[in-house]
Amino acid sequence: MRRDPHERRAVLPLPVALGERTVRSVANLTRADGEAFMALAARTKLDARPVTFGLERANDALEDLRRGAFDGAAVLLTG
Amino acid sequence: MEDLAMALVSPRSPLVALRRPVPVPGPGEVLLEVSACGVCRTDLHILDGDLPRCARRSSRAMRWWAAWPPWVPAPRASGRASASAYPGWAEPAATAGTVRPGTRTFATRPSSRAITATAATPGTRWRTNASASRLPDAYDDAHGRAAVVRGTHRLPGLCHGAAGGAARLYGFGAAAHLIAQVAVAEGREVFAFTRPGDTRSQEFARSLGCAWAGGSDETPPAALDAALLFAR
Repeated sequence: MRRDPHERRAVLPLPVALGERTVRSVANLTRADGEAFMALAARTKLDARPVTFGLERANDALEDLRRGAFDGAAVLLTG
Repeated sequence: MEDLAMALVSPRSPLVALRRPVPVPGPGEVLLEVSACGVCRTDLHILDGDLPRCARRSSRAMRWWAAWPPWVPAPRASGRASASAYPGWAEPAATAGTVRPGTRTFATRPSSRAITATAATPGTRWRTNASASRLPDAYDDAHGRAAVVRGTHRLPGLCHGAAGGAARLYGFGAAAHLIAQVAVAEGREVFAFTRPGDTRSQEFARSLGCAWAGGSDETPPAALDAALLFAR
């Protein structure tokens, strides 16, 4: 027997039906986002915690990142 | 003159060091020296072969010297900038013919680079959607790179997810440690969720001003109205 597709909607518990939520995925940014962040970074001195590696140690940086071996951000230096 | 590149030759294998000639800029192009390069979890996905499309695209940007994008004012010789591939991925002009056929690269997106201009000419040429922003003087390359690579594209998420002034962060890594500081500076109450039992990261979060830090299996002191989740 085919079910009425609206039937399922009717059985949602009221708190669920009324408690609206929004899910948003953020994976990209606009140029304006970048400029806004730079302005904010200039205003608020952010305490970035770079864990630096020489470029030739990129594999070590990746492995440490994978293991969660450090807090902060891994940065490769080319100099 | 040669430069060094760490290349991903095939997925799920270590990067390989390549020595390649520094590209010669064409007419109207500018050479930029990359001084710092952020590493983020996306790079692990590329390394693991989860993002073949990205790997293929980034291979076309593989070089430690790059051309200045046209919409950025020609930099002074001492200018520093952070380049970002967002929106879009870099598509260097044909003159960037330094990628060896069959190789794929890691951490070559312009988003991963803090760059120092070494020369500038007007009328630059660059076929890409990459963008660049000037780094605030308060940051050296490494710190600036760390802040930008992780902070920039999480900011819209914070603005969206922090309704009511509170900020709840699930995951406390490179991005969250910056976003938390932004939120604290704005007077928001920040809760930080870490991996269960990760007391080191919890202490780190508290040291940055988070009002509460605990494992993702713990109950925070107040119910959450919204949260920012860092996908992995």
